[in-house]
Amino acid sequence: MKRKWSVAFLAVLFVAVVGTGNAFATIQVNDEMSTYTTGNGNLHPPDVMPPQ
Amino acid sequence: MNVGSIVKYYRMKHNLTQAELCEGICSISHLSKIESNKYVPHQETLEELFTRMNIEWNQEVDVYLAHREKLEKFITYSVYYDLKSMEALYAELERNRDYLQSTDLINRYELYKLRYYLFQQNRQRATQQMRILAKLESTFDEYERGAAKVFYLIYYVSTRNKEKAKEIVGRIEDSQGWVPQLFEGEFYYQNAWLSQRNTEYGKSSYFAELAINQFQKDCNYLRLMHAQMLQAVNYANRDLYLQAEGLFKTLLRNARLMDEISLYEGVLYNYSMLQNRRGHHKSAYLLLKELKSLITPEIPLYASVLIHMLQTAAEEGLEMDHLLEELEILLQGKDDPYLTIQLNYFRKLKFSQRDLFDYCEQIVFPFLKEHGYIGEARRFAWRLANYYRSIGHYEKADEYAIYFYEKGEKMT
Repeated sequence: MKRKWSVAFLAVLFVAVVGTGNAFATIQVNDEMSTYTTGNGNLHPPDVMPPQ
Repeated sequence: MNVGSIVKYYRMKHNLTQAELCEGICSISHLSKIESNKYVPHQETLEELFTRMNIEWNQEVDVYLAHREKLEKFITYSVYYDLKSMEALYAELERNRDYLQSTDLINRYELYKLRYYLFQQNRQRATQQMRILAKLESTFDEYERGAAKVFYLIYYVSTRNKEKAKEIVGRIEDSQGWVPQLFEGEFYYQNAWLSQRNTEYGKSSYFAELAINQFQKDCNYLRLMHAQMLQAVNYANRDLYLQAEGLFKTLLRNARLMDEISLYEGVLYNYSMLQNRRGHHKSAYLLLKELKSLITPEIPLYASVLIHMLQTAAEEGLEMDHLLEELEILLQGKDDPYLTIQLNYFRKLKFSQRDLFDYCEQIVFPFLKEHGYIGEARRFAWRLANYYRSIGHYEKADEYAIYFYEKGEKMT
């Protein structure tokens, strides 16, 4: 009986971990973007683009 | 080549009826089938028909081939960004419009004209041309379909029809979408251009790299510089400072050597933005000073340079008054809400932070959001989010942070 409970416990633990993994994946923020604000936080016109 | 169309072209030119032309050579119904390209005539019949109109058939083949070659030259000029030659050849092609439209060269002729109008930024004619092409589309061969995709993409990007542009990109990216080899670099370049304008710098980097490789292979040096400019801006916006700086330095050198003045000015401007971003404000200021000495106030870039100089001066604690004055003079008699906002912003910057934040929130951010200045609106959203977080106003902070992330690159 004890063993059965521990197996169930492990199973629940496993599902929980897998679950959080998935949950994290969906709310993962875009950390590729710069959050640099010095010099960049100011209002300035966009870059000059080459001709199309 | 469709011989029938050429026969018809010359018959009309000579004001002959079908009966007059075919008398003693073949039947009217036969000629009619030839003219509609349903039937390939015998060499002898053809020669007799042309002889009646005083035309030598062999010469006619040469004329056709010469026209075809001219068309190919025309579009190759576009790929290599040789706009002057393109303009000259366009005039020549227009003189032979009737001939080109009567032969099977019509599809390419009309297609290539679209590219020309796009270069000229003549939106009205480009739209007109799109309508003509829609009618011809069913007769396109594989090459023409491939080329059309690239030109349509440019058209939709320039008319800011985002959905249609994305649809074409999707179509080309799958295995069925094929682009003629001549336009491969151009296609990558346009993709990089579109992504950059949508502030998707990672994606734009990917395409710009492909474009750079292709242009290098094709020895297409002008377009190579354009693609490098895109790439340098991408690097700068992704905080890859060293890569960006390397490219900007190369571009400054080569643009000057090749007398590409407007490109040189653009590079100076973008390079100064990088330097500001890195915190090298002194260097940025010097670059902007050089740029300001090269251009006149009539050019739209001039206002951007002034604003950028104001920003740099503010960062470095330099004198701003003369710049503010100049911007004020520039604004006189003009109804430019963007510039007005800039001017007010820098005026407020000199006095109170509290005032500045209110102004940013109530005026600047909504304006930028509404008018599609995505990059700038995101920067403001980020600052406002930080500000509200610092005073413990989390709901408002979230609102701005969500805008910042939503408008950024999607992780796929």
